[in-house]
Amino acid sequence: MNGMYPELDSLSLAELETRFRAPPPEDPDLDDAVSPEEPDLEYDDLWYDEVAIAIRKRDPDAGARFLRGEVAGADTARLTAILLAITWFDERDRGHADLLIECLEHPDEAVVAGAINGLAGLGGCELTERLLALVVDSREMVRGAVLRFASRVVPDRAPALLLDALTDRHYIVRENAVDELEELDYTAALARIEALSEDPHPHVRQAVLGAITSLGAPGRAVPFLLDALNDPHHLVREQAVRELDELEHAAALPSIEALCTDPHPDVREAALAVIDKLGTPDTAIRLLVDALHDPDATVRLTALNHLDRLEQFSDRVTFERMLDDPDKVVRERARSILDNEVP
Amino acid sequence: MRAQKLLKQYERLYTKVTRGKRLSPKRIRELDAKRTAGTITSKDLSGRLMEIFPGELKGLTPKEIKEICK
Repeated sequence: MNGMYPELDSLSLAELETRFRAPPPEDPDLDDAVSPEEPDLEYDDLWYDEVAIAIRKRDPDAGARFLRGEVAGADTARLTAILLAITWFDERDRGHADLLIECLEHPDEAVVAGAINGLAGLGGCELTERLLALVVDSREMVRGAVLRFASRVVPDRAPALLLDALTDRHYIVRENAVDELEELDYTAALARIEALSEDPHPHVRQAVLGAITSLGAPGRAVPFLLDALNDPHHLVREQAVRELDELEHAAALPSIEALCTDPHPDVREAALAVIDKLGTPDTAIRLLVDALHDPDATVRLTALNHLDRLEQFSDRVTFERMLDDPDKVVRERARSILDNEVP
Repeated sequence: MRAQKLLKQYERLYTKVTRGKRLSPKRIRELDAKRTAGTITSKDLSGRLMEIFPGELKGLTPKEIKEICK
């Protein structure tokens, strides 16, 4: 089943092909949506990726013929979707490596990166030296793709490339380097990775938190994670909460408790989701009941769900109050709890 | 390690592998809800992230993956 667009599962091959040629469906959720923290990033759920994969799943051979027939007139979104689905659709297909090789010369860096990713999935197709040489390419998406290729196809040669890339001028390359060093379990890079905990880009700092938690002893990771709870970017604070939860670091409770009133709803939600595991039931109940008044519906829903799971909490009146919540999903969840679980 | 990371940091990793695109707020909300509930699996991810998901761990929740990887 397609997790992103379940409606694709019920379409015939011909209907899917029509969708691939048509513009993507309008999504009111994306109208004028801009992330205030990352205004340069464009929202895009990559509709054509999912349609192309559905086409191959529906009929691998006929689907491949259709997709290859679309290459000539395809824009970047469709061409990268074709490169993905021509080599992978729940199973690998080595029969179209020639298309990937051809696309290594494409002028669009996204297409070249897609071709390198596809070749990595196919084991390199005897192009390893040619692709590794692209690690000094001027385009950051290409350099990042080469690092992922190296980690997957020649893991013994990758660390030297990855360590060099930790000082790359573009954040996406540094981010890739940190992620792949973590994948390779390359503990010798830990000090170099820790040094990036103050990288200017939040995605690098987020990658660093995951890597130092995986690669280092908990005692070494915790000070970095506690510092990151005060990071200016919400994704980093949220990540720090989840990593501290992973380490079951109860001493972080006061800091995490403070994040239950963080300005960003995702951080408040993350903090509430772990508070019952790290704190006493009394503390958890107090914070979760407070969060039922949160301005964000997702936070209120999280608080409701966690209160429901706490054996020590069975106050029917609290759940009944949520039947008047302004959000329909919250009201329905409260009704479900009252009907099924609370005596 | 890759599987756990994909199920935890999908928002960042999606941007990393998609030439700087962001998942829409609606998708993020759906994924966040499943992550918080502990029910998220590879099947909820976009094809581009599914492609790099370890095959043997597909369809498993983070808790199930943690048990296997112990």
